Amino acid sequence: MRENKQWIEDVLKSTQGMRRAKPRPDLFVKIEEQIQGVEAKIIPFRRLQIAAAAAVLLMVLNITALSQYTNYIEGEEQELTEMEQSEQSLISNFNLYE
Amino acid sequence: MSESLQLLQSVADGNRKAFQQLYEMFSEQVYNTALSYVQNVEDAEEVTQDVFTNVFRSAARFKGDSQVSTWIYRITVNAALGLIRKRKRFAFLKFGEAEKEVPDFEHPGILLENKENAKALFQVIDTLPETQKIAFILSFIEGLPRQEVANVMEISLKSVEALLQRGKRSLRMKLENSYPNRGKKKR
Repeated sequence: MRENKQWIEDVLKSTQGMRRAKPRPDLFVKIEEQIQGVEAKIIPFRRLQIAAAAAVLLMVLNITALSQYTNYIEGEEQELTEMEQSEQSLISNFNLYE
Repeated sequence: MSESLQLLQSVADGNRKAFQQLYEMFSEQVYNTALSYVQNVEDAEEVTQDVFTNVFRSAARFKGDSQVSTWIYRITVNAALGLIRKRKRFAFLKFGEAEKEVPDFEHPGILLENKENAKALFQVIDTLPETQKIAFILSFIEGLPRQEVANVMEISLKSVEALLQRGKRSLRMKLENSYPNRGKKKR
């Protein structure tokens, strides 16, 4: 019984004199890689702002261009209609025998 | 201002050289605490990586209301706890497989004449409740003063002493039950 108690005391004191274990030498390199991996995933907010502004500008330009094109086409159609109308009236003027 | 605090402030400014110096200052402390807690080299390395990544990212948020070493010990304990909990959460997925026997952990820093006894000690330490385990490791393996243990765990000194008392009592009982025939001389 005494021997058992002595053994328990020896076990509880078994860490006395222990030295610190060292991590392997390349662990710091792995830590730096992990940090760089995290940094690469974080898109700077400024860059996002610039990207958003560029997208809006592009959209505005496209809408403006589309609007102008639509106006142009409508204008062309209008002109064509007027020409057709005036041609008809000319033709009716040639109808001498009515 | 202490050297570690100066280094941490430089790390907060993004100084990588300061970060390396801080790593050299605290890596053994972090690694050994992690190793004593998780009881295997791969997990201890993972914890160490997580701790220093966290230190790098959080350096600017350090308020200076504790010592840098206390702060780093706290991060280490939380990272080690987090890893154990994560392993336990996913352990249920392996049901049906034969239960893997956990090999005896041999801490590489133990003196040769104490290796067998230390193996037994780490086995029973692993069965302690979380808070008793942390208090025991910080106090008896890392050798921190009790007040420092209280600062790391953010509890009172009295609570630390109570945890250590209960922890030691529990360890003695477990050792008594696990190895009742050890230590008896053969006739």
